Amino acid sequence: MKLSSKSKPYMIPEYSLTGDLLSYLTCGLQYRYQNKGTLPPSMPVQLWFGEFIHGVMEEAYLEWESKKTEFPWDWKKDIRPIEDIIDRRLQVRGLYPPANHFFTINHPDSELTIDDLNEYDHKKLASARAEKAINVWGADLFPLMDSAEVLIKGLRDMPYTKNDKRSKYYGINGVIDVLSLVNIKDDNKIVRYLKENKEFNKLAEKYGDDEYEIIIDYKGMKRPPNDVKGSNNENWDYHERQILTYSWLRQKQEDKKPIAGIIFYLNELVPSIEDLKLIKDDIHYHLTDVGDSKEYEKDIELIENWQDDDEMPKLSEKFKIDRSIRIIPIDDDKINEALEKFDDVVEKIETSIIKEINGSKIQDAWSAEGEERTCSACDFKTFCKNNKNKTKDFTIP
Amino acid sequence: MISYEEFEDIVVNILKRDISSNHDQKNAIISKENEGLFIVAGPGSGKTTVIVLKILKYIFVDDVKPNEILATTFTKKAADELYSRILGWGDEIKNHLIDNAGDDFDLLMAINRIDFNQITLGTTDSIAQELLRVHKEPGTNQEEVIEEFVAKFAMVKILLKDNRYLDENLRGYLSSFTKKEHLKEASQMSEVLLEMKNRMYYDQIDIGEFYNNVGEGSGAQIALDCIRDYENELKNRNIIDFTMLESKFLDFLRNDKLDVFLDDLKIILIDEYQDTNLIQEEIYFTMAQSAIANGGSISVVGDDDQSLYRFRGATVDLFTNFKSRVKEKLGVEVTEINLRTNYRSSENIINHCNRFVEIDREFQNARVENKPKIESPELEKNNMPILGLFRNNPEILSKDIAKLVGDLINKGETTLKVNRIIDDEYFRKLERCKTPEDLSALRKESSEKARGKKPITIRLDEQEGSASDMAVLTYSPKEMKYGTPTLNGHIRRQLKKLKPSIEVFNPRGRDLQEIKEVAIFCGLMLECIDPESKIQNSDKQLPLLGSRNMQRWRYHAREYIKLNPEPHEPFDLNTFVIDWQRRNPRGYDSWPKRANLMELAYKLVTWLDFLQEDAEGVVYLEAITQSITQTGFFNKYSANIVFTSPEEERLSILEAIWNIFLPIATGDVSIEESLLETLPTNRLNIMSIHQSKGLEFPLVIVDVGSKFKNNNVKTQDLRFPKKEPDYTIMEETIRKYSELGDEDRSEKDKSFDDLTRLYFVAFSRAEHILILVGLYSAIDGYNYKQKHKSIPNIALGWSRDEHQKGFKEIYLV
Repeated sequence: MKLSSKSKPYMIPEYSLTGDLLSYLTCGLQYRYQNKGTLPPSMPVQLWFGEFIHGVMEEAYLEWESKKTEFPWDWKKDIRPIEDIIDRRLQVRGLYPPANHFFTINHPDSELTIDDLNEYDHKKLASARAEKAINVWGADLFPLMDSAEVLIKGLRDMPYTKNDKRSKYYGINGVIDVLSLVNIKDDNKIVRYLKENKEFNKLAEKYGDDEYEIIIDYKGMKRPPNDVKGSNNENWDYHERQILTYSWLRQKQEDKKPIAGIIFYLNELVPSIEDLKLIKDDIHYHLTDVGDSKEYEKDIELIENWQDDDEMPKLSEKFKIDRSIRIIPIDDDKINEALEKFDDVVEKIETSIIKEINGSKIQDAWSAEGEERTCSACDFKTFCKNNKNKTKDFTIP
Repeated sequence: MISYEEFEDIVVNILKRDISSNHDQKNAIISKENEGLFIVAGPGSGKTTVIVLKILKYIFVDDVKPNEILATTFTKKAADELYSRILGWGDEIKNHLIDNAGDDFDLLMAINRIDFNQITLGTTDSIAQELLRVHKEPGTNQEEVIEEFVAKFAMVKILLKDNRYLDENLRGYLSSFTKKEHLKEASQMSEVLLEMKNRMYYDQIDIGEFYNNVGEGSGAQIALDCIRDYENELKNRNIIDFTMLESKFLDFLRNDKLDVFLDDLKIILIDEYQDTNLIQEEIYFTMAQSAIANGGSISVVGDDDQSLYRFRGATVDLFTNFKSRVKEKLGVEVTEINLRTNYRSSENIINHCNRFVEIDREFQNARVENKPKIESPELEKNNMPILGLFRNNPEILSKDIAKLVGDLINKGETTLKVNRIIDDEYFRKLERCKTPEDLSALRKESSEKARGKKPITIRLDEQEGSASDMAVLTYSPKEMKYGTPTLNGHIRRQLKKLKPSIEVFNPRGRDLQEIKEVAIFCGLMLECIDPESKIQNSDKQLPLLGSRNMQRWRYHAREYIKLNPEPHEPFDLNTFVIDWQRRNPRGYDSWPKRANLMELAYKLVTWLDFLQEDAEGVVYLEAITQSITQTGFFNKYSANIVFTSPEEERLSILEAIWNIFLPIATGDVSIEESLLETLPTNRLNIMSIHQSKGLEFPLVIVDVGSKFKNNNVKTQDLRFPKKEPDYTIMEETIRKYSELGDEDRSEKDKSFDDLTRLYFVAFSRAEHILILVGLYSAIDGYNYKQKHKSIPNIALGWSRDEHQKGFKEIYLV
């Protein structure tokens, strides 16, 4: 008697814009272990900060919505309690604040309350950024916000087309940090930045409305260089594609049509030493789009003269604020390209998954081709077969 | 939007699902929005198809909006599958309608607007979490939900505080719920307390009444105090566990805090309703009040014969009595529909299941009234008889099972000789057997019946066939018990001996820490941070089992180091460990003030290939790293070893031992099975019958008696319970204070019912071939002092009044 083979369960694999796409492009093997799998990073500084700042901005918005607290907010009275809530929330999930970035009172050893804190001793980098983000952008951003943490989903044909494909389709999902309704007649700092952008103005002219939907995304990182080739850093393009893909998904939902995206690179408001080193390179080698022109003469001078062990340079507010916002007009023609690039990534991931199912070892199924800065911070560098820096980097402990 | 006829047409012709000829399915799907249904879905009856099509019909035909629909499933996996189908089929229907809409702009807009993501779909817990998150009151901080093992950890801390766990009254009270040894370890006591707490929620008991009925200072009172302290501790940290989540959800529903959601709710569809408990029923019925007021309905789907979760608080009566309960509590009538056609299994397997479930007359009183038999659709299907593979001892049994499986996988086919045929007549005569001679004669007779029967050849599909087409189902998946291998353990060994060898997939077969690579890994970590067990041995409070396992790990680690595994550059494992032990830095000027345990873990993985290259190995690593990070917020050092002073070093090592390694050593940390999506298909599945629920395989092997050499009282619980199982004591004690109150059905009867259901589920997993395996004594009985004795065994067709009706026909190979 011939046994028929077990039918495969009907499932449509889901891929997340931020969780899967950007992580895979950083390094396929790291993606396999940390995203597909759940191996936590040993020093989740980036992960912690990203979650922290998102959580703080979301809570701050909800707070503003119900209490309409006037700006600027007082750090100790208005902001620190929010930080505290987020800190606790993250700790329950296993994410602990790096000591040099955040002063936590949620610790079995700590008897302190928020009242005992002061700006001088306890407002570290993460808190400084939280405060700046709220006070620099909150005042103009919150009134424009229509909804926060909006889940969007869509379906696309599976790009992996061989016979052993897992499904006919794949699902894309993402969470838009903020959807805002912007009236270009408003007297609002964000609207001014929008109007300074040539492409945005062209689009606004084309549609001829006053009110537009804008997608907003926060990123707990510095502004990537816009010279992708020169800097060997593709993040500038990835971020644009993320906004374009969000826009496509959003359009499928309720006939909405966002015409632009705004990314806030929040680290720029209070750059760390590492950030500053990179900003220095960006300026020096002319790799960036903001900060590298005559109007920022004084800041450029300060940065060029700054060395690692010097005190932090006193950059102008304009420099920091201008670098922290990026307008991305949504060009319909570019959307298709962004989606196809997403399809490419999904195809690569599916190929690797199927290799694994067919019996390949993990490192044979997943490619590990990260940038050097990715490798040097990677937890798996001591056994990754692609890392050439292994020998130098293997420390004890 | 479209008529039902149009809808059915699309489903039949485009989706290729024939719902027009199966009247039960059709009636289930065609029902109107305000018609609630009680759907009794037998195995393989196309239940998921029906649920998906009901939802799509409401949307496309009745213009119900997706956000007006709520559907729950039992597991996340089931939710994913349901969601995928709705999305996949829904999109195909959408596309077909768009293609044929022509110029009808309004229709096109309406079709495009349909967003299936707006359907509220998931497990009851995930839906509760999501709704509480989305509709949280401004200014309040949403609580985080913690996993089971973190909850257990929190309860252990409560017990250790002021050494409460040493109280004799408390120990005695908690021990009364388990017939095992007298409870001594805080971690065991914590489990019992959590179960007690959970039951109190599931059964919605009146805690005040309970409290008033217990004596001052009694074990019961202390237990209730511990539970209260646990809840307060969690509240102070703004966290809740899953039962508290459900309780909060019910509270919000009842107190108008989720009205924004309830105002839009129309359709409620609950799957696996046979495993519901009282608090969940309250949740569903509260939501149903709104749904009905909005012109909608509540429908449930399930099968009382497949109710397996009583030990986790489920009450099957809520299902079997659904119609009357809905009438009483919601004032509405629901229509009963029986999905009786089984599209999964062959006719012989269906007949076997029908016969099995009707053997015991008393069991019929526990089933849905007038339950129809499962029917076979009129399709040409290969009809293999039920096979039996019995041997004299587990070793030979496992060898022959391994050969069968091995031949199929390695050669693509196997041939089995039919040795005996046992049937109705055989079982009748077996009852009358009195002497060894009687048995001999009977066996000869059954051999005669097999004479002339051609050998049976089974072939795997050439293209797609693999080990994953087969499964071994058993009462417990464990591979070792009391130090000796079980049948599962033997099968694994035998399969490994084959050429080429075959791997087994049995994630619950061993405790995480019993796995060699995990033991070595944890041992290496301990050896690094606490050389020579100095700190570990200094703490006399460490539970015995835990410290013994930790010593075993260290031993394996040391042996492993001696093997000098690759890589040897930039240094070998031995050097790494010794340098760590001596706090001898490399790459730093001096040994740092703190060392991160996750970093140490990842570095050690360098010498453990299995944990980095094998999908299963990575899942084990994930479980260990979870233990490292997730209880950190209770701890001072958060998974770091601190070297600022010898005292800090000692304390941080102790904390790591207690909070990270001990839970692994005492079996509290288990793997996340859902992470195993990419597991290779060339491994034989061994699983418990519980795990097999909802699954199906072309070939199924069910262990019906590998442990039954004789009528030993020790194996009674597994085959013919004469005493109540452990968990029923807790159930009885707590239920007194619940609306469910004292029940008509005795605990013993319920235990028989459970065993019947268990094997019903097992048998109904098979599509084409069902093989019963065990020892000869299980079917033939055994000889004792010149007399013949039988072994009562539900799985082999005994009824609780100690008669063996047996089965129609089994071919023993």
